Amino acid sequence: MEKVIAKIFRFDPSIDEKPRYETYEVPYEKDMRILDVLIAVGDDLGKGIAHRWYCGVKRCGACSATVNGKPVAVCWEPAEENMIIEPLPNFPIIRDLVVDRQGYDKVVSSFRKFLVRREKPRKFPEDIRHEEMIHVYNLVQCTECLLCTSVCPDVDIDYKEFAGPMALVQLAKHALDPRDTLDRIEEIVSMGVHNCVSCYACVDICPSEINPLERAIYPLRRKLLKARKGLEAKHLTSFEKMVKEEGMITPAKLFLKDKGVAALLKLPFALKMGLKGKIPTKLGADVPEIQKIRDLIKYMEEKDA
Amino acid sequence: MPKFAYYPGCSPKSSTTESDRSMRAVAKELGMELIELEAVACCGSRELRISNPRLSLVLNARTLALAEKENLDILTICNTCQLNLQEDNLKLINDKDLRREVNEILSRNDLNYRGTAKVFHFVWVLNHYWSLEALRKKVKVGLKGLRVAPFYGCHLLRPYKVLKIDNPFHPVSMRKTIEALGGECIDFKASFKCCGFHALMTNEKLAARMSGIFIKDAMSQGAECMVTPCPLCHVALDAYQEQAEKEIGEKLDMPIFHLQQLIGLALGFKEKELGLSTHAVSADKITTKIMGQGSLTNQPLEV
Repeated sequence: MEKVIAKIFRFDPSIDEKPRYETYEVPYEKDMRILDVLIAVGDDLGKGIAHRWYCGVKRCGACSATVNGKPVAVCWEPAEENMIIEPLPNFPIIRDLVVDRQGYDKVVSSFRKFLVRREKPRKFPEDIRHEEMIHVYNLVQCTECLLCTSVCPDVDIDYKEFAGPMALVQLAKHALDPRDTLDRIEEIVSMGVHNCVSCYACVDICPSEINPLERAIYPLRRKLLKARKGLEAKHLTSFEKMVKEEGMITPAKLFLKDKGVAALLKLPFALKMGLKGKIPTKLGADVPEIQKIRDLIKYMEEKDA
Repeated sequence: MPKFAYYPGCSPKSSTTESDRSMRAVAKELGMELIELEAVACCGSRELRISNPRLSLVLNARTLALAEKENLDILTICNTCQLNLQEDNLKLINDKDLRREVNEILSRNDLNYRGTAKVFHFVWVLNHYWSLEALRKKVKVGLKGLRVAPFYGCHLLRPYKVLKIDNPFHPVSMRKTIEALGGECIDFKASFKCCGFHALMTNEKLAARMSGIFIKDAMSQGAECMVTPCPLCHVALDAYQEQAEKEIGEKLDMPIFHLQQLIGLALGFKEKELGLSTHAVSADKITTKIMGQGSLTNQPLEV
């Protein structure tokens, strides 16, 4: 590779009517990163491309951009011969590759980002078991690089329905800490955790390999379930009960159990689905040897007790 | 003849029976023998993995043990079943202590899992285990000229560390399958995004809006129909399409096929055999178009 051809998104909402792409060529240097290409375009070609970066070693979380369709930390990825560099999706654009983080910052500043303890630790260093800290230990690695929120299909620009994985990582970092004594249930509910669609987009994109879904979002949802709060507690409970009783799930029956009387509102939909043969005539699963599954579950429960 | 322990999962056994029916029909035609695992439990979907992950693991270990007992690998037709079974299988294979612990529980059912079963999604089987070339040879009614938008569904692609079926950012398996059938694959941005199914029960509006936006995206790229390898995506895209239309305020009328149905059409099956009449959005315009090309029967495809 002798040179790098970068097609870069340019847009200044204060003067431009619409975005455009400009193509630049810079000579390739050994071990060149995408960030080096952006710096070269700015410094050597004198093109004033707006982009953020501070540390250059994947710690500050500032330099994220979309490269060839995939959001990445540009300081940590090698330059390719042909690249299309764009700002992160899911965020308003301030200029060129710089996106507006204010919406996210607002969400994060809405909850208490400190631990509150009732009593002083008995000794220092404190005895905390590894399994108690397992999630938090992982979550503190978050650099708030915005990548997970940029790929989240659930996040709206105003974060009203769902706060997005990155904000939930920040909340979970405090809520799951065994040293914290604050009641954070309302905070968790207000973040719309039940609206997460479990798509794993945040898991695959995270440059710090945090796994926001299984380390932050699911444990927060478990906390709500335990407190019997939030919109999905009933759903999760009836799902588990149905698996324990029948082995398999009959979606129509689960729907009835979830909605109760409110299911009547969906009568036209149910009728339509019924006519299409989408609702089984017998509401319930018919798993052979179901008793064996029940025995297994009973044995597990007795053991746990 | 490739033989599999077939695990259709809850949805194909109840609300999307057509995906199970068409899978059986297509498998027979392709020469795959399916031995259904009947006495098994749900894979846990997302719900059980949140509320009781340990139970979910044990039930999946039980399913894997039953397949292993028959000396067979598992075939799934649901993305979420694939992810759950494969993820738990990896856990059990890589962690001897966990396996011992789970086996102690399974011994109540006189079962033991050694960690030798594999879990394959139908898409994977077509692309790697069997072959698309073999599928191409079986095609009787080519889908030439049919513009099909593939909707992969999340749990076929992500998390990549577990699944390793296809590239989550540039997936190709569905494209290759559509092209093997003679169809034209339509690229669209939302192709590997989320249908919203796992939020349907708690926030129908949100889920319907998501699927509505994605169907619209496929439409704007010129797709005549969409195809998905996951029955859960099918529910979100087809059964809830009317709600999606309401949410985004636009008429969509997009026929959605299960992958095995689209293959079935290309193999010459009748609508009834594939259960097309159970769809909320009629697939008539597509079947008419395909049947209109009946003259292509038994002619080599230009792929």
